[in-house]
Amino acid sequence: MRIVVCIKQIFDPETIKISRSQQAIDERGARKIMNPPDRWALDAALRFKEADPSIEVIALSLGEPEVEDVLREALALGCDRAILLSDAAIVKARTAGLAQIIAAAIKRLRNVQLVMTGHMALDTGSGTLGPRLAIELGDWPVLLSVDQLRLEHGHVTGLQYADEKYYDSSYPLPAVATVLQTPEHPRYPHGAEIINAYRVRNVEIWSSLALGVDPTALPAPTTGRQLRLPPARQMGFIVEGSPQEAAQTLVAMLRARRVI
Amino acid sequence: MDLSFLEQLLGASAEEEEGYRNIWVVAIAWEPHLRPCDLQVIGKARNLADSLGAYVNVLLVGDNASEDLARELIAYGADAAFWGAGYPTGRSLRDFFEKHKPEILLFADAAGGRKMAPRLAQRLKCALVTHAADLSINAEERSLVVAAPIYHGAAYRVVECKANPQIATIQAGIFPTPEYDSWRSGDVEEVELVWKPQPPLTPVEPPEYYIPLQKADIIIAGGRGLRGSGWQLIEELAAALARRLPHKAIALAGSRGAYDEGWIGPQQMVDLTGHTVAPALYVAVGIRGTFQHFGATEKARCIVAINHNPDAPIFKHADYGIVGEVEEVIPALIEVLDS
Amino acid sequence: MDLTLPKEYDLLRQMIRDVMENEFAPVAEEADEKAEVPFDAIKVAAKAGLFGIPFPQQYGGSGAGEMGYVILMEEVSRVDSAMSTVVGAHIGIAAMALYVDGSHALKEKYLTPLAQGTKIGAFCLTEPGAGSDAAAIKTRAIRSNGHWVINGTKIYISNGPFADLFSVLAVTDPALGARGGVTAFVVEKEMGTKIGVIEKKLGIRASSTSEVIFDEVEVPTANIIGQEGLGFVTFMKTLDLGRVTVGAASLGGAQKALEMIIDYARLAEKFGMPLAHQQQVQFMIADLYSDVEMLRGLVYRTAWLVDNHRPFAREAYVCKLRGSEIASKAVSYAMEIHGVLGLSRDYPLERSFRDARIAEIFEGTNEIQRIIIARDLLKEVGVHIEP
Repeated sequence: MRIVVCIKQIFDPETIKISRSQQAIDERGARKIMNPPDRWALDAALRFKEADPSIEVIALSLGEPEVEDVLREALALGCDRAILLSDAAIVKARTAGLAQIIAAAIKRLRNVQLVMTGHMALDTGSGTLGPRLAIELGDWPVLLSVDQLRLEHGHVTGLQYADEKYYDSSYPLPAVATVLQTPEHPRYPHGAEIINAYRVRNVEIWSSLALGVDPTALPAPTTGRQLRLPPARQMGFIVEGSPQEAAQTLVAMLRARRVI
Repeated sequence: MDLSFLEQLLGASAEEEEGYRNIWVVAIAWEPHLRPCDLQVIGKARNLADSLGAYVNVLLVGDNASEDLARELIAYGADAAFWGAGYPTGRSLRDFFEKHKPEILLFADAAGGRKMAPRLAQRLKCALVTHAADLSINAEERSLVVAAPIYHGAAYRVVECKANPQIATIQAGIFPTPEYDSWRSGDVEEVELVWKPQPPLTPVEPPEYYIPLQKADIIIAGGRGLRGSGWQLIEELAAALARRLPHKAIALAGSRGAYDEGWIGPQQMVDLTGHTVAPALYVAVGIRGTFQHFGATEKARCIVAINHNPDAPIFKHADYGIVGEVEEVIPALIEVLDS
Repeated sequence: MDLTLPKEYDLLRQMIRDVMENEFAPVAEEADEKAEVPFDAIKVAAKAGLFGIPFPQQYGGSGAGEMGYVILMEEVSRVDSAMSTVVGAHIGIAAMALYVDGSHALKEKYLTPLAQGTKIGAFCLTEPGAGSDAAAIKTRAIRSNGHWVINGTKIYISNGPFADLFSVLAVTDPALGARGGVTAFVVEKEMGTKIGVIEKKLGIRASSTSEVIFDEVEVPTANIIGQEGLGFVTFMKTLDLGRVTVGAASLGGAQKALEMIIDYARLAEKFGMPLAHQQQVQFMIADLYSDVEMLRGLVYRTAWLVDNHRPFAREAYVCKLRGSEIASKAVSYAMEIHGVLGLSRDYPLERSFRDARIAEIFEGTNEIQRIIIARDLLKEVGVHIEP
């Protein structure tokens, strides 16, 4: 059977700068990396392959030709194949269209039993690709934000995380799983595999034409307006009131800032 | 409330011809009560509807959905509530909304909505903005303008929806839970959707990880100010946070002072002479704040200081400070977190 | 002319940096304190191929050449210079000797486990009477019944206490000396090598250095690296290559010190303003940055010369000489700026300071490097100076 892992290339959130004067994110000098949660998804897929060598793991990404770098990294980590969906139409596609073209590629691959990806893209904060793909693939079940994935008896099983709780969940294959990032570091690629990923191995480039899909057929359903920056960090704010009042205000403020 | 005058307003718009109208909210009753996150969405929907001249309709699903809960939705601000006990299949949910044609469709960014919203959006081939932190209406275009965080909240991307239905999921805890108003009235109707069996979901113990300080999302750090039972208190605070946020990696640490006192090991010391950390939240309890301590924590996204001494330098380097006795502030915090 | 590195090197650097920051950085201080080699982290590094980066994949390496090796040493040293000594002794000289002159069979048997990191190597040249003066060695190998029997003591052997394989230089014909009478052998620990005194060191404490004693150690003839009598040439070629990477390791150390200086200057306030606002601090930063960039250009160009089979020996001497000096200067600037904090045993700068000094000493002291560079230049204009 085949497992497809969908990988996104993003700017490393650690290397981007916020320009207050431009009201924009300054991406100059920022590094492009594999979206970290996708790396955990890839690691889980490669563990399945280690347990059952008949499993073929295929990394798939989409976008500009430079996205190839994350696919080379996926090859270095141990994927059997890497496919880049790239042409002028694909680059213009947005959410619903993207899911369509990725699903078309997955269908073209045949015998794909499991599609995995990270639980979210750290740049946009969005985690909708998995559920969207599931629809395009023909209403496959989705394991959302899952840890400790297992494949057994034709089912994919794991701990789904939702609303601060974990649930043991299991769905029959074929299925889609979006994988949580955990504190355990995923594997490192071997030096030789890194060299081979560039010098020996290939990233297959597929076009929307070849897949028979026009990803721009769906109109862009949203337009970006501008960037809004959170207020500049002000240090030294003292929360007043009795201990109980201060505690309540503080927790509300922390929640509003999304730190808890 | 007579809203017939709004019909005229709506009649003039292009959307009316297509038949897209009203704001819809999908609420879920996993338990025999309503979720605060759903109520917050209804409260926000109410605001938007008033500026748009539209109704707020709520679809309540889930095992525990009932007419009583649907009535409660009215009291919290819905104009009409539709309910059905069970989990609708994706197709029947799509059919439902294709029939009712919402102009705007909102979900709480929580269990249920997180899976349902993108699946529905894909079936309808339309856009979806997730984790909305702010919503407003562009009245001219009758379009929803949504701000959603990018790069861990370093900035907010503001997008404007261009096609109906305009779908968004809204973060919990951003908008206030609306007041319960038992005088409000509205239609309550049971709907017949196609239900699918939902396997019983029982929470299990969260997996355990060894969390080095560098990988912690939240660090609770103590300093010399924690005499007597103080250290036990910050352990309890960490446990309370862990109960609330089991997926977050929470670690206990200490200042150079705590290390010198022998309360922590060297692997737990946050200081330029120990470890430099960058958690989302760093809580310094009873730490005065040396320059070396500040240097080791400045990459934290948010710093909270709790100290009895209002002149402690730590307050200058903290986003939020509480001046008070640790023995009073920490139990109060634990109580708020557990409520 | 394209001076950008091919992209595989970017990914290689990223991988090495990840391994160093995740696996070594958290244990480096404790390893230094206890003078213990961090073997758990070394196992992870070996699994990622860090012990065979330059060698061909045919022999278990990564096939990344000298360029890959230079990147490795720079990144390793940026986090943990003791580890760069472990890696440098293992790859740069012990395994490199096998690689430059070993037969195919010998490489298959010994280079492969070294490159895979399943065995650790040590390079045995220095003796009590022969330091940078390599031709003066006394360790003796005598032919006997189709074997060679080695007797002698090697000192200051990096990785000595835990190495499985030793590249050893021994005299096989005293009459010929360095010109045809010295042979290189690869010796297994199991053949009977003994560990002598383990050094207690000022710096690079998490690497382990000891005497290695050869007392009637029987070595098969097949274990001769290259040809009998030409061991001196093998070892000198190996050391030439090693020098490039001492420069690379110094580059990593200097880069780290520069980063620490900039960070501290930004944070610390003196006389009511951040140190960064003070001009003498700015001068230090600018001077150091210039040195580091100059060194970077030199080290990378020399690696390129090696990979493209051009002569590189003189450049390699300069890499080692200037690299070690710049690294020492960088940490002493850092000490100066950090004040008392720099002396704290708990602040990593103190470790960098102790670690930096060794680069001016090992693999030929800087005085020797200067003499060789000068003689090499003078030779071009007809001035021959005999030792």
